[in-house]
Amino acid sequence: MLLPSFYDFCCRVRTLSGIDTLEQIPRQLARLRAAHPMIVSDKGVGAAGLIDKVVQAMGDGLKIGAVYDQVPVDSDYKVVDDAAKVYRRNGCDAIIAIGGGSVIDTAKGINIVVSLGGDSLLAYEGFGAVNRRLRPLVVVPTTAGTGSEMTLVAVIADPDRKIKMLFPSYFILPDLAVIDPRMTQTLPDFLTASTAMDAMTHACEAYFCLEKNPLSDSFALRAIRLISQHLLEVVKNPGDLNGRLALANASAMAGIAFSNSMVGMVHNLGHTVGALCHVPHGVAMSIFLPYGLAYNLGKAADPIGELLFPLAGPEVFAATPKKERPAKVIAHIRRMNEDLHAATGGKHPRCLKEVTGRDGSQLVPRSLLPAIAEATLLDGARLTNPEEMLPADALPVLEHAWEGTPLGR
Amino acid sequence: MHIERYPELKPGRKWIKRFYLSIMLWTVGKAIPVAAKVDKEIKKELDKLPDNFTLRLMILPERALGPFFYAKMLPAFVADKGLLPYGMQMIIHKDKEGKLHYQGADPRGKKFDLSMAFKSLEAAMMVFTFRESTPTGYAHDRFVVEGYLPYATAFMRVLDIVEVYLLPKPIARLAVKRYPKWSEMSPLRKHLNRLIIYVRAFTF
Amino acid sequence: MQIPDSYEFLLYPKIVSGRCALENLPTELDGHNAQKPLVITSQALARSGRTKALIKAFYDSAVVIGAIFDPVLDYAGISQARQAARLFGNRGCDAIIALGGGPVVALAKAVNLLASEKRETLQPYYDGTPIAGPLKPLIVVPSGPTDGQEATPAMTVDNRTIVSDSLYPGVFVLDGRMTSADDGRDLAESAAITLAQAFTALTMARPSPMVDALAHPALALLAQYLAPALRRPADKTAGLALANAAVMASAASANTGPGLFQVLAAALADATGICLGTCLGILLPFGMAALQKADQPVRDELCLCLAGTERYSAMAAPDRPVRGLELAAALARELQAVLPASLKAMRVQHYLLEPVARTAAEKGAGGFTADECRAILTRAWEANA
Repeated sequence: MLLPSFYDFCCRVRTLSGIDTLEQIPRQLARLRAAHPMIVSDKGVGAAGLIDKVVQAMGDGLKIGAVYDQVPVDSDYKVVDDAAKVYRRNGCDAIIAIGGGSVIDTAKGINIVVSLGGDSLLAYEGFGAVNRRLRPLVVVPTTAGTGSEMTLVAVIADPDRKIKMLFPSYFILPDLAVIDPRMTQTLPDFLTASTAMDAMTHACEAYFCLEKNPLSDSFALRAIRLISQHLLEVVKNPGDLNGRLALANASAMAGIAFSNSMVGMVHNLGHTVGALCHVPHGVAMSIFLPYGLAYNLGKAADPIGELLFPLAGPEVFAATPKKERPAKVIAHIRRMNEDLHAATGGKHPRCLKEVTGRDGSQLVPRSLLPAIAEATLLDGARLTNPEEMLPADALPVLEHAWEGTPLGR
Repeated sequence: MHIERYPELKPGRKWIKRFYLSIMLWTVGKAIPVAAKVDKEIKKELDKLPDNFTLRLMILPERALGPFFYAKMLPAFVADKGLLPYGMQMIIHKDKEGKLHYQGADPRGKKFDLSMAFKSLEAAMMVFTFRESTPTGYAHDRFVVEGYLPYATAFMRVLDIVEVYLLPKPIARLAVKRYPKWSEMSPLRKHLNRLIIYVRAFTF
Repeated sequence: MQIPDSYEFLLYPKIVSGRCALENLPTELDGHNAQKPLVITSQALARSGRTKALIKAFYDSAVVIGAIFDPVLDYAGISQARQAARLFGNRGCDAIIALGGGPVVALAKAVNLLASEKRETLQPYYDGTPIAGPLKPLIVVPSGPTDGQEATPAMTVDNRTIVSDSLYPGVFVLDGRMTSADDGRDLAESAAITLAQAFTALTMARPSPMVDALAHPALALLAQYLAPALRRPADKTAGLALANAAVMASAASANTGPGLFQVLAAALADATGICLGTCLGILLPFGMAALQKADQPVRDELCLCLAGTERYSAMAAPDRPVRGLELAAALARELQAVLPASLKAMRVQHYLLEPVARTAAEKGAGGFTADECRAILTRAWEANA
């Protein structure tokens, strides 16, 4: 294990994992000296009955101050300010976020406003603005993928300026992440597939990008192993609670890894097609992952080859000569996508042209690829990718990803 | 207990490193507006920034180096010419017509849309002595970006190209992730532009 | 890989490690809204000139060092804590930097508690009063020998221990200039503690994937860098790697609690006055040998951490647990080259072994029996594997 010339690592989130952990939230909140939490969530989570499930599990030990379930898919600062008012009106003293990435980021934003004072989140943009301890924040993720419960940044949109604001601070990290498979049990198969591949991408990129370090490597390795062992089974058998628990654990561990080692071009491309064509994040990740691996072979062949160990197991790893490992890793990921495509009845897309919107229309027209390539230059994930990627380099990658053909060297 | 046994310690100064860094910042700051005129790619990147935009590269928040005490007394419009390397900042302003100006090291009375601040003098030394490339420096958290991150990535791309022009190949290779290939930047264009940038940047 | 039905995990401290890590101190303080730290360190470190490098790290920053409190020896006591807390108040400090390991960090935690809660004594906390609020930011710059308690929520002052989440240090800053060892003995003792903690984490009865992930790099770094560090204690790379391993293992042990080796060694250290690291260094090889003979199934993870992916994969699957134990035992034997070989050599009286075994079994709360402890102690006494 190589010690890098420099690294930092921080993940001060207390993690509770298991099949009965929701019941422990009141006790843990009492430890954090809070007894009157506000629940933050969205309509979909509420409709799936997950909020009720959490409230029921917490029992009488806790008096819920308020329930705010109006978080939209692309949350913005106005939602945050609005929810902060609800929090204050009801005299809450902590936040419980139940949901996916958007809900969790919104809850982080609310926590900033209600803890530091003021009326609007806008006052706290940029580095160094959040420099005090915040109120207790408990996160109950309902998708096993984003890993937001472990990240130290909140991404919240400003629709007026049409930008995404970043709020990076160690104080934003939640105090408690509750990983309970009951929360992901009802997730449909294609969402299970794409969110798990999202986590897989976090872990893979954490393992080969510039800021990798021994701790992030170790977390990433275990996350990849869990996902490749359990994903297909869970997609085929959604009620498999142990498998669900394993995926949720993997997602959290991938979150820890990439929050500390940053991500690369897969996220760069994914963010860009997400912003321009509204391709869901997890879908974009699963499509671009093999291309990101192939593109970086020149600079990071060794770490990419090592990924074969958690992906395919020690026997395959030992049987494959070192030189052939990277190619096998890429083939393995491609095959995973194929298998998921088959297992979900074609709902898990394998290439960009297969990505469709709700009405069945193609989300990424081929003609848009040059514009997407040009826009990749503006994403921060470009910097931590091992290999330089300029628009001229991104275009062929996008074209291959659109067609679904492997990237030649 | 004698409290005097444990004295208070005020931080000292590393003058040589400060001097080196202020010269580096001054050089880069003077070169960028000229390079933007010469190199199309830099121009294209800087066009992504909105007009009337001020950015700065900063190592320490104070404005003038000790030996240049007179710089502190200069009125803003003289200091803004950036004639001398006297501070630990580099301020570049893009005016309403989209033209770039190097505005020296004096932050007085300016509002910054984008700030890139090195965490410490030593962190800046790591990057400006090319022991760590700009992306590695970013990955190692040597500097923080205040402002809209996409503008910062555009600016870092500009820095990369400017470094290729200003520095001889063996050194520039350390500073950037991938040294431009022939197809990206022909040697003729490189050497010619390099000459123009050096001459125009430092002949006032 | 099995996920346990339930587990709890926390890695509280932030770790900053590598080139120019010290120069990050002003930024880390700033991130906690602090401008004036009190530095606590030991006489030995102050004499070795390490404080000078620390002072230099603050050059060209806005941070004023409130004072460098450096009379700490190898014992953390309340009177020194009180002095430092008074100094902290007099100078108007707002953060604490602990430069050192073991007693220095324990003292820093105590000073933080006294100064933040404005108290003169720790007695109420021994009696069970909870710590009220968040304390002042505490940054640890490890240097010199460790006692394995740095990255845990525990502090031991005047031989009494207080455990509270508020006591976690916020940041560990590891820099090669500080972590290289001055002598091999200190280094071996620290490594023994690290090895015991990481080994416990990877062999405990209810494994958690996150604790595994935390202990893995600790063991891997130990396996890779222990030999070069023992050969040349001043080696900066190896010193930094071992210090990294120590922090990770210590943080892992905060999640697992002490295992057989730690409990037994602590009981032995209490009874004989030998330092914990030496006790562990003597006990570990014999304890591991006992485990090998006992034919207890150990998880594959131990082997993975020590052998690395390449060698792990090349082994036949059923061999992996055994090979893992062998590798761990080999690592423990490396320490014996520097540390005393047996308890007899340390002039421990034989009659002490029986009470030590019994105390350890009591403290272990059913995790192991007095017979097991006695067997290990007896072997370690006469150096008979």
